Amino acid sequence: MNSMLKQVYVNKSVLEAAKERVSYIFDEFENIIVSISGGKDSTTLAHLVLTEAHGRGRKVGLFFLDEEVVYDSTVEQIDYLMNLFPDNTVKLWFQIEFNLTNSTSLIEGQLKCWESGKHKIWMRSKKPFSIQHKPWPQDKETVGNPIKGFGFYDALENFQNSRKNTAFLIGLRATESPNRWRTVSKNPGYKNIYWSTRKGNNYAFYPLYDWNFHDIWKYIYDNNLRYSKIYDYMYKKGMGIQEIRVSSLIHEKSFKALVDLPEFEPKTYDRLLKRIKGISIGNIYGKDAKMLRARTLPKNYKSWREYRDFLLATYPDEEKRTIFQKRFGRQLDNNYVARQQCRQLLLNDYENNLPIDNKPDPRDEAIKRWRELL
Amino acid sequence: MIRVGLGEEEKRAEIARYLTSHEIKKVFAFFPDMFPLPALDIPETIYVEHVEYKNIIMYEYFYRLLEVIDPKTLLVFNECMRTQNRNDLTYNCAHHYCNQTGHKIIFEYLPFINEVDNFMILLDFQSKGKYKGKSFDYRYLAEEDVRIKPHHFTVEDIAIPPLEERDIQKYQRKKEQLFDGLGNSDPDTIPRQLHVFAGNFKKPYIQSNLLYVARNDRFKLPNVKTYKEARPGEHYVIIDFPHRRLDFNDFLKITGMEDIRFLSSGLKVDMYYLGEAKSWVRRLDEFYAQAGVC
Repeated sequence: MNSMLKQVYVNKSVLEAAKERVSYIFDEFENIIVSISGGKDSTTLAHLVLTEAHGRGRKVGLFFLDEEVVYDSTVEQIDYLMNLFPDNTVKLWFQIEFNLTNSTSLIEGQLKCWESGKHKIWMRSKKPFSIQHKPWPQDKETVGNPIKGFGFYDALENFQNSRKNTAFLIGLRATESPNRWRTVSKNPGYKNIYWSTRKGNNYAFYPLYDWNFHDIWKYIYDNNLRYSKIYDYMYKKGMGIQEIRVSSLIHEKSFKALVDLPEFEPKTYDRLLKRIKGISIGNIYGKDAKMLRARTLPKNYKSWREYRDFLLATYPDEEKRTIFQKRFGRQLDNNYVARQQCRQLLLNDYENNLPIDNKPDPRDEAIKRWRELL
Repeated sequence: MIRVGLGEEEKRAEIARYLTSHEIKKVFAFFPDMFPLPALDIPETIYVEHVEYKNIIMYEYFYRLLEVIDPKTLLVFNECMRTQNRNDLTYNCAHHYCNQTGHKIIFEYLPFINEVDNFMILLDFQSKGKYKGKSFDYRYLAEEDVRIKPHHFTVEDIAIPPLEERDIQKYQRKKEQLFDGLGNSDPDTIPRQLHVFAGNFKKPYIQSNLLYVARNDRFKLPNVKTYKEARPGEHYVIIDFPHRRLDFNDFLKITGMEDIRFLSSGLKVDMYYLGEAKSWVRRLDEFYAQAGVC
């Protein structure tokens, strides 16, 4: 982990600390909503919070923003969590239309999840109890990027804005994403609590912020909780700890999942092929250094700059090309930066979710040094 | 406990001593494939398993070992400092094993790979939580059970006669060719290739009564070996240094050589590699001096 973030051990287990944090939130807030994704962290957090709610005879919301293109195992896990303590659960399973980046196709660069009129090719039917219409006034709806349209983060933001005095609980852990953690923990959000951030009239809390990977699995084992089968598949496949994660299947940070999807969930893969373009590209080239990962320069190009210029010139979407051109125009023009720009272009990352390290090319420094020494 | 600089017999003796003075039920010995521990003289009542360094991160070992390593287990790490990255995944996985028992013996021939701070890798095996995020300090050597048997190296420059002007021009042309043709390759390949090129000028000065070591088998001479062919107890004259410090350290560990003799062309690239070797030896001597084990 980054040296800026040092773990200091105290005489208390992370489980005890998390229980105290959850109890504190229950004392302070009437309305509590837990965000769940079907992954191990949110499973742990949901169970901790539901257990507390059960003990107090209270209800908490379980919020799941359904991206449609997810593993079947994720859907099964959400079903499981929402029925774990039914008397204490408010089901907030959102199946609304929103745009999701499709990193595997330059032709169909966006998926409109749950698009009306296309129910015949939806990955699955909607849940009868799910929230299928936006529960906020249309005229107050905010959209971050008008070119992209209403996206995943817009759905999250509008949902949060539609609530007041609510504690949103999120299973973010510092060891998993030190940069994100540093961003959200710089200042206390609620009172003097550093593991929280303010969100308009509401607050987000991260009660598992100091848990490690093994703490999560110990909790799941000790409490005999169900977890997504995908973890078992990945484990059997021999994937490393950092690689084992459950997320969406097509966006710029998760497309690699398509490589193993036919093996893990063949039926999900079949439905996905029919649902959106580019899936077989993701399946074949998701882990290829030359293609989507942009690790190795294709032989046809002399430099990453030349490759970037080609990708930019042939980018099929005019509006998004302008976004890339403007962004790249503000960045340094060297091969180190150009490689990262190629990756953004290949993965349709017009939202800049894979930020570019804009600095002089370290290779140039090394060449200069060797020229002097040799 | 950390033991630096021991030979095979001394390692065996250390393990045997430890087993007689502690109630140990299981022993797990970790080692890279080129440095296996010799067969240990351990009573049959004690379970012994040898685990290759590369398997430390494998799930089939990782979770099984976490289940079986308990407070009566001895972990032996033999020459396991394989990267300077203290946060390397293999180290991190090994620390999970270490957290489950207080019985650990860490053997390493040299106290560091390239920098003094590498010693923290050994201390992390001993007690990860205690040293997390800390840089090396000589007082740690007194705080922990550390014993060091120093190996003092000397570096001698055997200069070949000065190169002719046309050979120097050849070197310059090769250098320019490497820079010009670098394309998208790693710039560190330039000194590596240039050093091998400079080595070719040394061929007329290879003597048949001495053993030499070079980076590859290009000389096709029976007395010039590659680093992989180096054998214990043999003394070699260096024609080309390996680029990675760890590879050279491995060579010194295997051969037991302490006098490093380098056949030098006098070209800048040879001077660079020679300078790096001398500087490493100085750092090592300074470490032994500061640690009080001269």
